[in-house]
Order: sequence, then C-alpha cells, then structure tokens
Amino acid sequence: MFNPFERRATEYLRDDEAFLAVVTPEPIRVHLAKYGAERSLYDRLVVIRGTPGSGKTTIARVFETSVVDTMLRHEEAYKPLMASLDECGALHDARPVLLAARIPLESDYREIWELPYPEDTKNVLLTTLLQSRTVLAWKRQIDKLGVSYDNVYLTPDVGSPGARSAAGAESFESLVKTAARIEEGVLRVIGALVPPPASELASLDADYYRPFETLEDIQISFEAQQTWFLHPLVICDDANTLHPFQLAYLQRWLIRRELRVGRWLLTRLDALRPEEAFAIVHQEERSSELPGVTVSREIIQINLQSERKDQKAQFRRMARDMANRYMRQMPMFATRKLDDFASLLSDRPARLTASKLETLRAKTHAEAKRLHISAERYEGIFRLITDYSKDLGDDDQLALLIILLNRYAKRVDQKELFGAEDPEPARPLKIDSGLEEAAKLYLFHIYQRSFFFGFNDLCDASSENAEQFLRLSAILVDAIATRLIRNQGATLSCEQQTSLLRERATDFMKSWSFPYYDKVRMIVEAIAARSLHESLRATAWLGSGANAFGVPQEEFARVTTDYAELSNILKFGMAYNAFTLIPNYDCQGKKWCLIELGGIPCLSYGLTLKRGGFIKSRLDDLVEVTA
Amino acid sequence: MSYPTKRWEKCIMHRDGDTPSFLAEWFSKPDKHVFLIGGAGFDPRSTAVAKLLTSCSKAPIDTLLIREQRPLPSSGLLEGADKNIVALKQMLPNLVLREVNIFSASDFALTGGRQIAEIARGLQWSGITDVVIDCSALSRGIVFPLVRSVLSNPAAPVNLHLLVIDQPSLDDGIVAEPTERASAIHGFKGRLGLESSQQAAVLWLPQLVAGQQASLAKILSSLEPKPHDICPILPFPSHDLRKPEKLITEFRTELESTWEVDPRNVIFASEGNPLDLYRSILRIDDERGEVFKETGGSILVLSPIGSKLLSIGALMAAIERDFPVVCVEALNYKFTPGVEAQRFSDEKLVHLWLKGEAYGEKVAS
Repeated sequence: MFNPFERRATEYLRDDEAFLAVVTPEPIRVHLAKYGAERSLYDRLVVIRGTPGSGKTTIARVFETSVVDTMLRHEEAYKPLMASLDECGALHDARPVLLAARIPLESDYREIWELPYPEDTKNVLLTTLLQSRTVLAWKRQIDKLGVSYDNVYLTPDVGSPGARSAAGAESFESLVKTAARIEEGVLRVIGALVPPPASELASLDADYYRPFETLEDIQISFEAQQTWFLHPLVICDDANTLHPFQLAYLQRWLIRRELRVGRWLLTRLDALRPEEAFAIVHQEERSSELPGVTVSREIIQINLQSERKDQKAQFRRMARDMANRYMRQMPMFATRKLDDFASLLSDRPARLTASKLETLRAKTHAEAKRLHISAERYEGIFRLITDYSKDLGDDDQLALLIILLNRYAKRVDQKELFGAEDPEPARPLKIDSGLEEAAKLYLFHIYQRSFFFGFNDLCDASSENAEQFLRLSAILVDAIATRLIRNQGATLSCEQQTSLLRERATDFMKSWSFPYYDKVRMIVEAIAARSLHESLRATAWLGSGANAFGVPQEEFARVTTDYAELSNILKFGMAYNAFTLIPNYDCQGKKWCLIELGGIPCLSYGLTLKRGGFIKSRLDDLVEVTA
Repeated sequence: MSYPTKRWEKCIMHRDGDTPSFLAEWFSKPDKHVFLIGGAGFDPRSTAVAKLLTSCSKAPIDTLLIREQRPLPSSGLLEGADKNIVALKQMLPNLVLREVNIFSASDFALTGGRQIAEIARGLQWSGITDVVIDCSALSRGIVFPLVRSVLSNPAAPVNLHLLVIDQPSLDDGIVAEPTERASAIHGFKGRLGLESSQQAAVLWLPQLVAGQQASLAKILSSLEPKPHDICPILPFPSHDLRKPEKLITEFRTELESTWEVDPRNVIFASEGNPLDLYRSILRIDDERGEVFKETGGSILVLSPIGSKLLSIGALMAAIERDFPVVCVEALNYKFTPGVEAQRFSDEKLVHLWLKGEAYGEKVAS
C-alpha cells in the first residue's frame, strides 16, 4: 500500500503541485516572518541551520519562483502558505517579488578543493561554478513560467560595466549562454580523471565572471499586460558538503556588499566544528570565524533547532497540519473523511487486568510489610494519593503507593521503624506530575502497560524534526489503514501505539549510518541503561525519570580542546538527533551540561520523554564507554 | 531497429574453472611481461590472484599494491592487511606498495579516486605487455577510475585483464559502514546535472543489496535532477535462488512508497556474469535513447553497490556510454565471523579481457 508518510523528504516530489499539497506554512512563519517584516531577508546573507530532516530544503523550495507561481494559480488552496510568504516579503500585491532558485552544493563543489591548484584559484572556481549554476537555475525558473527570453529584461547597471559584459548580461539570452559555457568548462576541469595544469584554466574566464555583482532586478513581461519585477535570490543548500575552509570562504564571499542578489546559505550542524555546533544550538554568537565581520549586523542566523520555550507547541501545531495533509493524499482516509491524524490516536491506555491488579495490590502489602510500615501509615499514604487526584485508575494508585511507601521508609530513621511508634518522615510526602509519570513508567516496565501514546507523545518523540515525525507516523498510519481494510474502527489503541512506535524506533536506530554512529550508539546505550536503572528505583528519586547524563559545565567546556574524538562523536550524535546538548542547566546550585537522549532512543529503551532528569557523569566516563 | 555495436559485445570472459588454465597458457609465452595491480588490504582474497599468477605464469611480474586507508579502522582489519602484505611480499619480491587515503581527514570527503588516477598516470609501462587488475580486494572507488585511466591511456600496454574472485557470500559478509554522503565516483560524473542535460529523462538503476536502504536513500537524495524513473536491479540467477524475493521483501517500503517502482521495471541480472548486466544496461540505454531523442535525451545513473561481478558489468557499461556512477563509499568495514576462514577454489576466479590482442590490437614492437 502506498504510504506517503514513508516518502518523508519532500525533495522526492518532482511536481510543484504534489509538493505544495504537503507543505505546511508554520515553519516559514515561525522562523522567517520576523525577518521578512524587517525586510532583511534579501539584502544580506541569511544562514539557516538545522539537523537533517528539519525542513531546510522544503523551506527553500517554497520560495522558488515556479512554486510561488503555482501557488498563485491555485490561490484558494494555498492561502495559508501565501500568507506566510507575504509575511516574509516574498509576495507583493499577490505577485512574486523574487527570482529564487535553490542550488544544492553537492559533491562537485567539494571536489574543487581537491584540485591541485593554489587556494585562490580553487576559491575562484567555487564561486564561478556557483554563479553560473545559479544563473542557469534562474533560467529554469523562468522557463517554467513559460516566458520567452525576449520578454525578460535585466535592469541596466552602470556601476560595473566590466562585470556585466563578462557575465554576458547584455541580454538574458546571452547571460544564459555564458553561464552554460562557464559551467561546462568548470565541470570539465572537476570531472577530468587528471585535472589540466593551472595554466589552462585561463580559457574559462573565471576571474572576470561575476554576475552576482551586476544583476539587481529582472523584469518579466507577460502577454496579459502583466509585469513582474523580480529580485534575484540564490539559496545555497547543503553547504555542509563543502570543505570547512570552502564553507568559511563562501560565507565571507556571500557577506560582501558588492553582491546585489539575495543569498541564503542552508547548512547542517555537522558542517561546523564541534565548538561552533555546540554553541549554535544554544544561540551563542561565534564571530571569531569571520574576522572583520559583525555577525549580528551582516548575517541573519536562523536555527531551526533552537531552545525557545514555545518550540514544542509550535512543532506540535506544524506536525498536526503536516500529518493531516499527508493523510489527505491517501484515498483510504480521504473517502472516509478521516482527516485529523491526532484524533485517530487514542490517549486512554487500557487499565491492568484484574489478575495483574491483584498481583500489584499484593505487592503493595508485601512492600509495606517488608518496610515495617504500619497499617495506619499505609492508609494515610493511600489517602494522600486519592486526595491528589480522583481520576487516577487503581493501577496508577497502587504504583504510586509502592513508590511512596519506599520514599517514606527512606525518609524515616530506620531504627524508629522497628519501634512501636509510627514515625513521621523527615520531609513530608508529596505527589506531583513527575511522580505520576514515574508510576506510569513503573507500570510500563513491570506490567507492560502502554506508555507512549497520543499525538503529543508522538511529537515529543520526534525531537522537533519533521522527517523523524513522518517516519514514526508512517508505521501508525499503516496500522490504521490495516484496521480500516479489516472493517475495524480507525482509532489506534495505546497498546498498539506503544508497541509500533518502539518497533519503529529500534529499526530507526539500527539504520543509523553517519560518521561515528557506532560510537554514538555506545554513548546512547550507556545513557539509556543507567537512566533506566535509576528511573526504576523503588523510590523514583528522579521523579519522572532520567534520559540524560549531566557533566559539570566547567568540565564540558574542555571537551573540544581535551577530548577531540569525543567532541566529534557528540557533534554527529547531536546533528542526527541521537541526543541534544543542554548547557548551563541549573541543578543543586551547580551548572551542568546535559547530554539528553533524543526521542528515538527514549522510545527504543522505554525512557520518559519528559525532560530534565539526568545522571551525574564525567567526560572520562563517556570516553571509556566509547573505547 | 539497429543500435550501435557494443564495445564488449563479444568480450572474452573465463569462469567456472577455466581461468587458471587460460592464465597458465597465455602467460607461458616467452615475450610476456605482466604488470599486476591489486589490493593490499584485509580482504582474504588479497593474495589469491598473486598466488595463482606466480604459480602458473613464467612471465616476469611487476606489482603495484594499493593499500586503501580509511578512518577508524579496527585493529583486526589492520592485522589482517599486514598479514596479507607479508604474504604478498614473499610471493612478489618486486612489489611496490602505495597507500591511498580514501577520505580526506578533515571532513570525510572522497579523495581516493583522484589519488589512484594520479598514481595510474605516473606508472611506467616500458616493456610491459599485459596489465592485470585484480579487483577482488579493491573497492569500487579505486577500481573504476583505475580501469578508466588505463583504458584511456594510449601509452598503456596493449592487453588489459580484469580478475575477480566471484564470492557473493564473502561480499555479503564484509559489511561496509557507509559514509554520510553519496557522490559520483571520480571520473564517472557523466553529464548529470549539466545545463545541456537538464531536459534529459533520468533513469536510476540502483542495485538492491540487503541492508543498504540507507545508502540507496542517500544516493537518491544526492541526485540532481531527480530521476524520472527507477529500475532496481535484482541478482537473478544468483547463488541463493531466493535472494530476489528476500530483497523485494526487504525493500518493500522503497519499492511501493518511496520510489514508486512499477513492478515491470525490475531488471534481473545474473549474479555470476557481468556481461549480462552490461548488455542489459546498454539495451535499456539504446531503447530509451530512441524514445527520448526528441525531448532532450536519456541519462542512466548507475549505483552498483553489491557484488563485485555485477559492479564490473556496471563499470563496463559506464565506461562505454559515459554513464554517471553514484555510490556511497565505506568509511570502514566489518567482518562477520567465519568469512576469514573461507577458502577460494579456482572455480571462483573470473577473467575479463577488456582490451588487447584478442580484439586485433598489436603489441608495440
């Protein structure tokens, strides 16, 4: 059965209509609208960073002129998306204002670095290839609009006639011809088994080819008396493919004010050096890489994985919209008017069976006896639970009771427990949502009650990553479809959700393939094993449970200098959502850097998705784990 | 409809035990001087061809061994490679050992293809009559540019032989840890992505290999423009006759949802005969060339990530028609238990004669 959720990446959708049908406007509005309102998205360098699958390429593609044109032709269908583009300043009076094209910086650009030429020559080849390919990509955008080149006009540029002439920018047609010639020439050099000597590069005219410095506005006249004035925008995608020196150079080059075109640079976190990657996710500024540049003034930096407080709610909104769009692609759901994915995921777990409940009840009595807790105290603690919430099921109450009995025993003087008295605990017993979560975790691991269910858990397990969300949803969608085929109700029970999500998460981890993934897995396993052990302690001293290691912040500050390999492992683990770093986390009057497991490992190992619980650790422990 | 003649339509190939007797006969001629290029790695096949050649040939043998260096190798693999080098040095005292860094140390970008092309350019061929490339223990990223370099070098000796030990179970047992990026093998970019090819209909021919979904996903993601159609290659007939079924089950999500493959678009290629895949690819190209010639032409993209022999078939097709070959290189390898203990019988050795006297070319006097 065709399941669009399995397709995940929108880049596989060739047709603009098919692409637009699954795009949600939320990320554009959330991440870009603010800068659009300031009118700063198209006059300086914009750097967008995120983990793989976080939606960088999708955002880029939405801005492409041909996609915007498709939207305009189906105005009613894409109203929310158009509104978000309007907020970003990409539309004016319901007309596009950008000639935007996405340029994937795939391996050809990286290959240039391996050529046996001086660095300056290699950098010129890099920018020459980028410029020529961008011109050709703009041309393809215009081709899709169905406009003759005779109706495309380049705004005169009196300031740099040399650059204009070298780029062939006397007319659009000659601009395109020049770009095609230059592209072919550079690729011949890159693709040659053995590259030609540097002296033969002169024929490429690369030194003088600078169309980005001469193109400012492009006017397109349509037959229907309509004219668009478009500002060129280049969107360099996958900049992480470049050599680190190339990336630094390209960034400096794109900052230059001589460039008239808008320019965006999209990159993954793993392209950066570990210290930069660690800093970026937490919105610290690192300007040391770009001498002479005031980063905040000359570059707009947008991080798709930031630690904003409202990030979780925003992601849930976006995920819900996206899932519903994907569902509408499946006739099985569309014909039954099932268009709200969240409503098909039950959030009421089945209670324990009577026999299991009896076993649990017997265990509470046995525990009270073992801990020498009086019947009055037992009743008092149970009353505490019923007073806390009337909605708790019997199984939840009993699981909480076991934890509280153990906490009580821990908080009284052991000698007093054997006396006739019913001693008071050193600190009064208290119940909160963390303890409630601990009871659920206990029931999950000891009595196999479902634990991961409902749309919110699904979103939390996705680590705010769209591709991960789709991948987890796909298995649930398959199961719902199977139920429909069997004429069963569409709603998926909590038990099924828990089991399917864990199965998918385990498969997901098995399919990891990125640098250091083996060592990342070792760290994940170590954190998960310790966290699980501590989370299931009888007193549930960690509340809702742990899913992280905490390293003292001052110790973690040395990771890039003293632990080179470990910092690379952490960087890649972070970039691929195996874990997240939370620096400067306050706990017990100290600052910690938490290495917190992502949603996928939490699902796989059955750990809480709640954040904040951690086990104290040291960098040396992590090194030992990966040895 | 007549199509262009294929360069290796009548390629000379020996297998099923015929290779040793051919090598013994051919290299017993007094005027022969062999240049053997092979791998000096952990692969247990590293020494097999050298052993055979030294035992059956009377011709002098110059040898270049390539040691592929990858990041984060396990100590077991390094020990295996060292052991093989010692054995090879005993058999071939004149050997030259060259190290090739497959990846750049700074960012794991591929560099090995360029290095091997440079090495091949610098080789001295004087007096050599036959080049023998033993592909058994060399990776695709090395073999492809190496063969192309030798074939395109007018100064290279007239005869070019490829030798491969056909052991799919061994290929399956060596598990690659793929790098995070797919890229075209050096010298095999073809015309993919060029402005002049933008209108071409792109067909991707991925070879299905167990456990390689992630690698194939990376390759598809890296292709620009995206393919218009996908025809997966299944090994059939194969040593394990149920292999195609197992692969179809394993790749069901890709076939049904991600790639949306029409069931009629599956290509079956004999696992033990590289010429079968070679001919199938060229036939597809011929037929598509006719269909799409008025609408920008056709481009086939090859991704041979499976057994060595099928890769050789893809190599021959790619050289002949300048097809792009896009793969994911291995950061390092893992051995599964029992693989090392395998023995190679002469039955497993396959010989392909790519260029030379068999095709009417003359040895330079």
